[in-house]
This record gives sequence, C-alpha cells and structure tokens, in this order.
Amino acid sequence: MGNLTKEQYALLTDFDLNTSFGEAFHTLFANIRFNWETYTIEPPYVHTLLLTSVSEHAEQSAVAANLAIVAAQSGYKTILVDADLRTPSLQKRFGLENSVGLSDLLEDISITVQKVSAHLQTTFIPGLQILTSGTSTSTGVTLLLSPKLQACIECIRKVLEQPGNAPGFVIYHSPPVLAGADASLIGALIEQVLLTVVAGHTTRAQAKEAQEKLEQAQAKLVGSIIVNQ
Amino acid sequence: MELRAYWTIILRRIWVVALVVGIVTLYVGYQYYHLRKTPGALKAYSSGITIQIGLQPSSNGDTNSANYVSVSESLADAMVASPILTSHEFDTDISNQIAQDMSMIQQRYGANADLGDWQNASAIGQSLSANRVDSLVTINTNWNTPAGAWAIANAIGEVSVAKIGTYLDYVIKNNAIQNSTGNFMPSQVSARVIVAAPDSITVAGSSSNKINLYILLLLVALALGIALTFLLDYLDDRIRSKNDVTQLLGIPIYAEIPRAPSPGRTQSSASHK
Repeated sequence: MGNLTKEQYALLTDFDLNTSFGEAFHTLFANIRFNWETYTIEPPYVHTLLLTSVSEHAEQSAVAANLAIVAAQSGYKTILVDADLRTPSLQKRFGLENSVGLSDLLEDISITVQKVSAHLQTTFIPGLQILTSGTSTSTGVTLLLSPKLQACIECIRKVLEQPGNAPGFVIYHSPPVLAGADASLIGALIEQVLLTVVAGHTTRAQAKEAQEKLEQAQAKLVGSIIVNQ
Repeated sequence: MELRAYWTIILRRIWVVALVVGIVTLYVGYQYYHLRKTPGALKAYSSGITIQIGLQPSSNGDTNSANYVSVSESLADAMVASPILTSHEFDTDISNQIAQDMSMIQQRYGANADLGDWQNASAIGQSLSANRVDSLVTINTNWNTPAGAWAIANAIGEVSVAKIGTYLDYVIKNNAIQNSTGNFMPSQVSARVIVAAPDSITVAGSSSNKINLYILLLLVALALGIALTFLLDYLDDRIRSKNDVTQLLGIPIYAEIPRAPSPGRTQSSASHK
C-alpha cells in the first residue's frame, strides 16, 4: 500500500468488497436511490445530496468519499464536492492536491458550466470527479453566504446534465451542522440532506439541535447515517 | 427484548461492575486473610473449664470463714478482670503444658492431632475469655481446631492447679487477712478444677458468620455495580443505537457504518439495512 496516510486508508478501495464495511456503503447508496426514484420520473437524472454531520468527527469525509466511490462504481457519473471550506480533507483521501475549487468558483465574477468543468479533478475511480474546497483565503461562511452559491450548485449539476441522459450524482460534503451555518446554507439548496450521527459520541441534545438548525434553513433532511467508532 | 436491552446496558459499562466488585473483593480478601490468621475466627471451637479459687488458711489463721469467702471472691475477680489470662507468662505456661500433655492429646485425637498454632503464646492469650460466679471462674477458649480447644482448656486447668498462687500473689499481699488479734496471717492461694476428668471438657464447634457476611458484601457490590451502570446510562446523553436516532429525530436510518477494518482484511459479511 506504500506510505498512505490514515485518511487514505479509510477508502473502500482499500478493503475487500465483501466486508461489512463495504456492504454498509452499498446499502447506503441503495437507500438513497430508493428515495430519489420516488421523486424523479423524467430525465435528466442528476441528483444532489448533502452529507453533513452533527458535530466534528474524523470519519465524516470518509463517509462522503466512500459513498461517492460506490456511486461511481455503480455506473453513476459522480461529482464529490468538498464544501468544507474550514478544514478541507477530501482531496487527501484521493491523493490529490487542493488546487482551484469551490471557493475559487464562488469568488469568481461569473460561474459557468465550463469553469466548473475546468475546476474538477479526476480520480483513480472511473466516473468520479472531485471539486476540492479551493485555494481562496476568504472565510468559508462568507463565501457560502454569497448569492453565487445557488448558481454554483446549479452549474455543478449541469456538468452532469450532458447528452445521453446518463444518471448523475453530486455529493456535497460540508462542515458539521453545529460548527456554523455552512451546512444549513448548502442544505437549503440541495435535494436531499443526510445527517451523520456517531454512535457513542454524538449526544441527543446535539442531534436535536442539528435537526432544528437544518429545518430552520428549510433543508430537506431525509435520513441519517450511524457511524460506529 | 427488554432483558436484552438491559443486558446491553450492563455490557456497555461492565467495567463499572468489575471495578466495584474488584474493590470489594480486595477488601474481603484482605479481611479473609486476617481471619485465617486469627485462631477461631473462621471455624471456631469453644471449650470451657471451671476452676474454683480459694485461700488455704494457715493453722493459726482466722477462724472467720466469711473472710475467706470474701478473699476467694476477690481472687476470682482478679483472675477474670486482671490481664493474667493474656499475660505472656501465663500463656507460655499453657503452651508448655500442652507440650507436656502431648501424649494424652494424641491418645484422644490421634497421632496427627491438629492443635493449631498452640506454640504461639499470644494466639492462646487472644483466644481466652473468663467469667466468674462467686469464686468459680470459667475460662473459655475459642480455637480453630477442636483438639487445640480441648488441649488449651485442659492445660489451663493443670496450670491453674499447679501455679495459681504465682499469678495471684499480689492479690494476697493486698488483701491479707487480719486475724482477730490484729495480726496479718500468712495464707496460700489454691485452685481446684471443678470438672474432675478431662473427658468432661466439652468442645463445641460453630461457623463464623463473617464468611456469610463477606459473601453478602460481594453480592451487594455486584448489585451496586449493576445499579451504577444503569444510573450512568441514564445520565449519559450519547446516542447508542438506531432506535435512539429514529425515536429522537423521527427520520429513517439509511445505513449503519461499522468500524473500518484493517486494509486488505476480510470481515464476515453482515447486513446493515
């Protein structure tokens, strides 16, 4: 495996496919699909999902990365967006550099599909691209409060709305809900939001507060994921 | 289902139960160790011997028998109340007497008679207690073996008959009887064993209730440990299971992600629906 960091080890590609760890992500993706198929009956089949957590925990970005891997391996063109502008880490899991990304797009004067495509980085998983958090030094929440966020999300989605109507999946990974307004701002513009709860770590009070914050932002919280540590 | 949930709570904090029971076990073990070292503390055998203490008057002594009765009672009182029984001298005499009686003891209890720690004078002293009625002094022995209890009681009788004056001399000096002419008369303290034959020394065994107490203490510690786990679980606000999330948030669980295995290692498959 070479000199891999701890963050890189948590990728599904490091494990046998028939592990319970791998099966859990296939189950997760299947349940997401069951849910969106009840809403979508016409093309284009591009879906957006925000994965966020109640509070800070190390495996949150691993959950997003592994879900993206399963989606891509299942034949869905997938874009994984690192919307955690506070502590970006997704690119490390795929062995990539944090080059221009989301924050750079949000700082740009105009956002186009072409610009988004140019900012995407390909990974070693066929069909999976990453939009890193970017190199901007501006404060994360300030950028996300920009009205350009909606346009940016729309452009990212349109990247996958290419001729052929192949199904596409955009996964956003954001900071924890209780860490700030980031998750709520993004969640309000995304089709579905999944909340990650860490068993034995997340408290009931925190989970309830996170749910209330998302509901206050009109985010569509459709389910939760339990992570055992 | 309820029982399984309770068991899960106990298992989650089994360390609390182990800690409480462990501490109490250490305490009980320490106490038990000391009990084993103390003769008669665990399994006690008691024996008793009654001796009558009196004053032998000289030929020119007082003819007033009431004086003798009074002094005899004083002597008996001194035997019971003073530290004679726990004195090293008396207890050593008992130990030596047992050594001399060994053939008799072996005849009674067999060649390998277990006498306990009979050579330890202080242990003998700790095992003795006495009470009196008039000039009759009953000395009880609590010992951890029946042969030892009998041997000590028998030796007490023999030593008392032979040497009682040695221990009670100071009482005579303090309570010397004046005869009718006003002179102090010389007298001699004597003792006789009321029970005539060694066979009449009875040995009775009884179990110490301290063992039961310690077992009860361990059970209480177990119950306390379990109660503590439930208390801690009640006070713990952390989410533990899928049920906690569905009941709290009212949203479905999409997946339960297990702990990541070591890279390249195969785990047994399990459903996570």
